[in-house]
Amino acid sequence: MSFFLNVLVGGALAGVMYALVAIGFVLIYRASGVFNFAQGTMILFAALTFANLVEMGAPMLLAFLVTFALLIGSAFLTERLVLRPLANRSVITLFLATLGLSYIFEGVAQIAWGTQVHSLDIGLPDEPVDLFGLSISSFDLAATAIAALLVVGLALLTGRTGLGLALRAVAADPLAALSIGIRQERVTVIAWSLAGFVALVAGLLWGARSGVQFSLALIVLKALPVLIIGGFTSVGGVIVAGIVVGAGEKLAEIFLGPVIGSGIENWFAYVLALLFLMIRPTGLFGQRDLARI
Amino acid sequence: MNNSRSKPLLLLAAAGTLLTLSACGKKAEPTQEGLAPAAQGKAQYFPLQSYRVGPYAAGGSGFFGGFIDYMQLVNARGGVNGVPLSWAECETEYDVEKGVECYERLKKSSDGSPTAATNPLSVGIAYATLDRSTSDKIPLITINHGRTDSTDGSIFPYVFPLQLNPYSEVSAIFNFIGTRSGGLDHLRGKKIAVLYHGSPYGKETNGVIDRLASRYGVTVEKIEVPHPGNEQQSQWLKIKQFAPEWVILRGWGVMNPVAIRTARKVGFPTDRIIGNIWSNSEEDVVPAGATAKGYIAITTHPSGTNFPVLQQIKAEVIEKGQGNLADPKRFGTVYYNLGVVNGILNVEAVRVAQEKFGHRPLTGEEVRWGFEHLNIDAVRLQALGAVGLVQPLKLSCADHEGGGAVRFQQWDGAKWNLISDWVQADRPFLRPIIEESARKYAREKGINPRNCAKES
Amino acid sequence: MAAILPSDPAATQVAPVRTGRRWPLWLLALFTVALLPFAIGSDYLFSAILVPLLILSLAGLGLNVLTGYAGQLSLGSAAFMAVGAFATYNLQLRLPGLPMPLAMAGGGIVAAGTGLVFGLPSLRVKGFYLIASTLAAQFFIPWLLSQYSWFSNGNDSGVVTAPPLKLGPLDLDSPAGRYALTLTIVALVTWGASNLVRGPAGRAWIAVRDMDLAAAAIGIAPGRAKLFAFAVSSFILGVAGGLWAFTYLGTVEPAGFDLDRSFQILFIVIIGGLGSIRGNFLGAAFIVLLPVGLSIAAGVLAGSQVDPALIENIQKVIFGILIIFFLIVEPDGLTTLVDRALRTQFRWIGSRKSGNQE
Repeated sequence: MSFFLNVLVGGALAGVMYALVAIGFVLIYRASGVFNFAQGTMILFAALTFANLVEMGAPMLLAFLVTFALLIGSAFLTERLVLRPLANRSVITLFLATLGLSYIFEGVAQIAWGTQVHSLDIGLPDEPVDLFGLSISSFDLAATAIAALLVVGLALLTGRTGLGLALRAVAADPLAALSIGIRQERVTVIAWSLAGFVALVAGLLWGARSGVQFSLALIVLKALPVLIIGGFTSVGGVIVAGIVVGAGEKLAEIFLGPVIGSGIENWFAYVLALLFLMIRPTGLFGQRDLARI
Repeated sequence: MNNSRSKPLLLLAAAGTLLTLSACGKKAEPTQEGLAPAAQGKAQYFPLQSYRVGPYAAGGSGFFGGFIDYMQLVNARGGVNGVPLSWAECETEYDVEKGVECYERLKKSSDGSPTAATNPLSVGIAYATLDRSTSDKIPLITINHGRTDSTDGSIFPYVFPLQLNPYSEVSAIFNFIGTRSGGLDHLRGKKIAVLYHGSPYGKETNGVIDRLASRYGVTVEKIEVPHPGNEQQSQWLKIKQFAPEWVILRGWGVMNPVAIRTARKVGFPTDRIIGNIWSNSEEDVVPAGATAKGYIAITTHPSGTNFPVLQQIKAEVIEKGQGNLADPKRFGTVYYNLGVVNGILNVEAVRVAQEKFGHRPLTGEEVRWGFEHLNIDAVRLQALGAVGLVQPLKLSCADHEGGGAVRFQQWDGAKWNLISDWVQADRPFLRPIIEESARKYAREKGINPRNCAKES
Repeated sequence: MAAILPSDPAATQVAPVRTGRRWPLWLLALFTVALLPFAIGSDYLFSAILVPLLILSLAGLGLNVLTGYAGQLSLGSAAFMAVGAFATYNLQLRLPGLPMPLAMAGGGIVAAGTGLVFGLPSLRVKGFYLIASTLAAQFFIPWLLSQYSWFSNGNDSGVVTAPPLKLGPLDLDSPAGRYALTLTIVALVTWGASNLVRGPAGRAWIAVRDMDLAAAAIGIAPGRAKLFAFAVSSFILGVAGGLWAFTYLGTVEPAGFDLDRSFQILFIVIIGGLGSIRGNFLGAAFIVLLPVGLSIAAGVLAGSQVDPALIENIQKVIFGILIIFFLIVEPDGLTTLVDRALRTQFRWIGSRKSGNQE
C-alpha cells in the first residue's frame, strides 16, 4: 500500500511541475486567444540565459531580473511583429506562427549561449524526506510550494488589481474592452511577459531537476494533455489536471506496465485527455464554446 | 483551382530551381586548413555527417572536434605517407533524414579526392545509409555502436562497429559485476535491473541480456525510459521495489543525469549504477551535480590529457590556433578522446591499405581492405602515442569489431578515474548469436555471404 | 472562438468545371519535367531531393484532404504514415509473392482503418480540442509498433530494413529506379485524390468544413463525411509511409514518424495552401529545399571559417522568420501566391475563360 501511495504522491508532485508549464499557456490563451507553442522554447531560453549568467558570476537575483527583462523584451517584439500583423486570423494560423516563433527562440538561445549542457543549482536539495511514512523528494515539495505561491500570486494579480481586471476584460470580450479604452496591445504584452515569468520559474525548476539542455523544450509536449484536460482558460483547472495526469501516468506505468508493456507514459496522458474530452468536450474547467449560426 | 495556364510554368520554375540546387549539391567544400594547397584530387577525403546542434550536440561537437583535430595533426606532419587528409562537414542534427541527405551530398568530394569512409556517430543514420554505403562501396564506421550483427563482415562487408558492439558492451558489464561479486559463479541468484532508453539503440540488447541472465542465473528486470527521459520517477520506484544489487544504465542524452538524480531521490546508491558506453561522458554527469559522485561507467578509452598523441595535438594543432573545439576546456574529455581514437583508427586503416595499394589517395574499396586488416598491437600503439588510450585491435573479414574490451571508470565529482583494467566481453558466447542474426538479415535481403576463409 | 479555417469559401479554390481544353499542353510539360531528372542522372538529386519531395507532397496531400478540405485539424499524420510503413513491410514479409504495389495499397488500407478509429472522436469533439485525438494517435501508435516486436519481425531494436525493391522482373534498387516507382505511385494517388476532391465527396467535405450545421440541414451527413475524410486521408498517408520506408530511407524506425514529422507535414499544407492539390507539391518543395538551399548557401558564402553550429542555428531562426512571414503575407499558401504572380506576369500565356470559376 505504501508503495502505491509513494507512486501516487510522487506522480502528483511531478504533475504539478507539468502544470507549471501549462500555466504559461493559459495566461496567453486567455489574453490573446493564441495557443503559444513557443512556451517550451521560452523555457529553454530562460533557463539557458539564467544558467549562463550565473556561471559568468552574476548573483542569482540579478540573473533572474536580467532574464526576466529579456523575456519582457521578447514579449514586446512578439506582440509588435507577430501578433499585430496576424490579428483576427484563424486559430491554426496563430498556432503555426507560434511554432515559427519557437524555432526563433530555439535558434537565438543556442546562438547566444551555445549547446552545452549546464547544471543548475538553485539551492533546493533533492533528498528523500520521510513524511507520513512516505518517501517524498524534498525538491518536489519545494517545487509544489513555489507553484502554489505562483498560483496565489496570479490569482491576486488578476482578482485584486486593475491590471488583472483589464486582463479579464480582454479575455471576456475584446471589443467591449477596446470600447472602454483598454489597450489590447498593452494587455497582450503584459500577458506574454507574465507567461515569460512563469516560463522562467518553470525553467529554473526543471533545469535544476534535469540539467539545462535542449530537451527542456520538449516538456511542452507533456503540458498539452494537461491543458486539454484542464481547459485552456483556467489556471486552477490546469493544476488539477496536472495532478491527475502526473499521478495517472505514473500509476499506469507501474501497475499497467507489466501487463501491456513498458513505456505507457509516452501516450497515457494523451489517451486520458482524449477520454476526458469525450465526456466533457471543453475540458474540466474550460469555457463552453457556443457555436453561433 | 487547377489553373491550367500556370501549371507548366510552375513546374518549369520548380524544375529550374531543382536543377540549380542539384548542381550546387554536387559540390562539397573540402577543408584543408593549415596545409599548403594540395593538387587537385590528391587528398584522402572524409565526409563528416556531424551534429553540433540539437539535443545531442554535446556528444557530436566533442567527437567531431577530436576527429578533426587528429586529422589536422596528421596533416601537420605531412599527411599519411605524403597524402594529405581532407574533409567536409554537413550538419545532420542527429536526424536520420538530414543524415541521408548529407551522405548523398558529401559522398563524393568536390575536387575528385576519393572517399575513405563515413563516420556518422548515429545508429539511425547508420541504419539508413547501410545499403547505400554498400552499393557505393564506402566503408561505414560505427565506432562503439551500430548494428551488432554487422560485426560479421562476411554479410556486412562495408560496415565496421569498431572496438565494441552493443552485445560486447553488456557482456563486459556482466563480467565486471562478476568480478565485483567474487566471480561469475557467484552471480547466481543476484538481481540486476537494466534501465534502457526507449529507442532502437536502447532495445537492441534486450535479447542478449536475457541470454546472459539465464546463463549466469541472474534475475533481470528490464525497464524502459521513454525518450527523452526527463522524468523517471516511476521507473526508479520500480527499481526500488525490485531492490537489485546493480543497475545497468543504457542511456542517451538527458536520460543520464536525470537517472542519477532520480536514483538519489528514491534512495538508490549511486555507486551501484553502471553506465554503458553512451552514458559515460562528462556531459552526462555534470548536470547531475553532486549526486553523481560514485557513479561507474564503462569506457573504451580513458579521458584525460596525458597521452603522447594528445600532447602532440595540443602542441601542433591547438596551440597554433587550429583546434576545432569551441570550448577549449573540453580537450581530453570522453567524447573528444573518442573522436581522437576514431581518427587514429580511420587513419591507420588508410595507412595499412596504402602498404598494399600504394602511397596514394585510395578508393573506398581499398580503404575497406585496410579496415579489415587493421592490426594494432602494443608496439604500434607505442608508435602512435596511444598506449592506454586505444585497446589492442585486430580485425578480420569475419570480425569487424576487433576488440570487445572495456575499462571501468568512476566519477569523483570532478573527473573520471579508472577503477579497473581491461575487462573482456565473452565474445565466443556472443558470436553464434551475432551470426544467427546476420544470417537472418542476409536471407531477408538476398545477400550471398562472402567466404572469409578464401579471402586474404 | 474564431472558426478554424478561413470561412470565406471563395478564398479557397475549388474548380467545379474542367474544360479539358488545355490538357495536352500541361500534361506534356508535366511529363517533361518529371522525366528530366533521368537525363541528369544525379544520385543526390534522386535520393536526397526528389524522392523525399514527392513523398512529402503525398503526405501533405493526405493531410490536406483532412484539414484543408474537411476542416478537421490533425497533428497525427506521421503516425498514420508509420502504420502504412509497418503494414506494408509485414504484408510483404508474411505474404511472399505479393507484388510491391499491392503491399503498399494494403498498407494504405490498414492505415485507413486506423485513421477511422482515431477519427471517431471527431463526431463529438469540435474545433481545436480535436487535436487530442490525433495527438493520442501520434504517441500511441509508435509505442505500439516498437513495443511488440511482432511488427518488426522479432527484431529487438524495433527497426526494420526494407527488402530490395523489385517489381516483378524489374530491379528498382537504384536511385533512378526508386524515383521512378515513387513518381508513378504519387502520380496515381494524386490523380485519384484530385478526382475525389472534385466530386460529391469533396463538396461534402467543404460543406462540413465551412458550416457543418448548414451541411446537415441540406442533407449531408457530417459524421459520415468526416469519417470518410479520415479514412481517405489516412490511406494516402499510409501509402506515403510505405514509400518513405521502401523507396527513401530503406529503413523504418518508429522514431522517424514522431511529432516533428507531423508538424513538418502540417507546415507543408499551410505553406502550400489549404484546400489545394498542387499546393502540397509547392509546400513540400519549400520544406525540403529551403534547409538544403540555406546550408549550401552558407557553405558557399562563409566557406569553412564559420562554426557549423552557428550556421545551423541561424538557419533555424531564418526558417522561423520565414514561416511567420508567409503566414502574414500569404495566408492562403504558396499556391495562391504563385497563381497571382503568374496571372499578373504572364498574361500573354492565355486569357481566363469567362465563367470558368477559379
